[in-house]
Amino acid sequence: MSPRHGAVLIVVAGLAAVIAAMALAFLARMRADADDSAVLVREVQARLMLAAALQYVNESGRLGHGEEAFGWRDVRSGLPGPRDLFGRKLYVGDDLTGIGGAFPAVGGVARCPVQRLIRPPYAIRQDLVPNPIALDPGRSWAELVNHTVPTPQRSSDVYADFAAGDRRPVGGASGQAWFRVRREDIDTFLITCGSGVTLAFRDFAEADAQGFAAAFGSKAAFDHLRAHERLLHARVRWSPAVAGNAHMHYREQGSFVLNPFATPNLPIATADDQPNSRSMMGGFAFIMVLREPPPVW
Amino acid sequence: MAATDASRTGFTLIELLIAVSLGMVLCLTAYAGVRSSAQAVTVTTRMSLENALLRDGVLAALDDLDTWGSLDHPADAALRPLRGAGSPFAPLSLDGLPVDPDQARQDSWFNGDPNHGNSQDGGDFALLGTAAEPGRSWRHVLLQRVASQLGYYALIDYAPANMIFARRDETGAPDPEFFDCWAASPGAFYSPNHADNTNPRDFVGITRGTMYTVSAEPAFVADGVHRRYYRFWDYPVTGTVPFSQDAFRRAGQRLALLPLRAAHWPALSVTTRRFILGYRRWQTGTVVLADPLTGAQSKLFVATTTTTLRGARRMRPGIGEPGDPP
Repeated sequence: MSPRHGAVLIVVAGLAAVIAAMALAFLARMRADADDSAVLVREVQARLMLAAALQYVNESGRLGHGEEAFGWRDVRSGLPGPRDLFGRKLYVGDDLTGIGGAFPAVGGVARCPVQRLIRPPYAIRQDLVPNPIALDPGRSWAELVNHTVPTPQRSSDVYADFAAGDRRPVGGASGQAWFRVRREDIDTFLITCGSGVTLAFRDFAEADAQGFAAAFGSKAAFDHLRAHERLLHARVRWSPAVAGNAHMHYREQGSFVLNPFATPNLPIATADDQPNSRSMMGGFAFIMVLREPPPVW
Repeated sequence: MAATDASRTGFTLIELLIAVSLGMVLCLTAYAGVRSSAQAVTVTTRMSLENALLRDGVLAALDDLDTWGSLDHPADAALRPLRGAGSPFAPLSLDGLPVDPDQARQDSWFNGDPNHGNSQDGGDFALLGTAAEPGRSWRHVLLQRVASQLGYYALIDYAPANMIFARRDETGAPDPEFFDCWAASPGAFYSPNHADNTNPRDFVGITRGTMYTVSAEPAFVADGVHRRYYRFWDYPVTGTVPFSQDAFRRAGQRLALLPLRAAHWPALSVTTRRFILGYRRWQTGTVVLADPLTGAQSKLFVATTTTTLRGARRMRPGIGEPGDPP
């Protein structure tokens, strides 16, 4: 066969090779874009954890200790909290400084891997309209407006299941993010947020000491996972002061009639609804995202 | 002479034309494919570049919101326009009083009628504390000092969440700066949006339809941005509050990114804003990407929880608060 006979084939094959090369470059660029986007996803994930950690600090000053407590600095005495109704410590540590071994004592660390549960404990059913208005005009007014089932509905008909929930993680939702909280002082906390699978351990040695070495295999594996995480450090100071608990609290000038919670201030034509921004758990005097990782976290 | 006959075998002109035509169709089709692929790669590259710019814009906005660097540069003293008296990064002095009161002490609570901070409808609340009474002066001193030394945004940032924004001066008289709109001469702090007289003068009450912000924009600084409010329920805007209508849009900090950008490159605009409005504290970034070739614009809005003004001040030694432990 003379070379001339293959000319068209060569030209077409060459052009096809060019197309293939461009397709390869396209795929490589898309892959690089995806990798770059992952950086932003990790950043956002870490910031979501910061919001979660702030809520954790707020709530754990009063909840989660077996009985209700009165904040990280008890507003009744100024002493370190959390303390119970009678002022007894709900942490193990010094009475005046709060310094102790484990969280919630000063110096302690709470490690919080975060994952979506199939059904959290005490979850209510996500049924927007459990009592739809009947379409039967023959029903009485009382039948039309009265609820036939109580609301909200429990997520399980069996109370024990409702209380226990289903703590298995939603598929694909585990190992995404975590936060840990170090109580630096009575009301100052160092929050570290991460987007990844290291379960809020500071390093492999800590994981090993707590019996989680097998989860990572080796220090090198842990360090490799850590290298692909975004860590966000923030120092915050909790305040027992709460906000927004008085807006439209009184029905009208000079009156001490209280409005029901979450209802409009009816006597005023221009009144907006209440914002419901009451923070029963306290607030934050400051939030300070740190540029450099602190030596101890 | 078969060989001779065979050597004469060849294309007829019609066969040649058809073969050449088919070959050209094949080549042209392949070329069209290459050209389309090249165009697709070009468009993809452009879109990839735009996506990268959007991502970088978001990260730049978040970084600025974390550090407040566009308002007070951490390294370059020449880029700190808000260090002057009355500005948010000025030194703060509370004459030895603590920034954070001990909420266990009753003298840190508001003792008065939260609805009528500048009247005596409910009695003489000056008897319960003034700026001059040791041990009962914290609230009255903090309000005046922070408002005058750092401005209103800083005052709300520093104040505990349960603050009632009313004070008594050293003589026991209500401070006219915090007179609300029901007074004959309203003070500078309260917006007329505090329109009904049933709201306590707390964080929720003072931010109703009203914005307080931090800005280094020259027009706003000249307008006294740090000691004034901006109304959002005021239509039309009155002459007394000229910036209200545009305050949100114009008061943000524009980050100088890609200063050497070629004219045909996509233009990235990043603006960060810190404001208190509508019962909430906002720290936001707006990222806008404009393509000069197509005219298309993309916009991302980010609101995040991050460093507060007090947190930003604590990053900067020498302006009124002890440095954080390392």
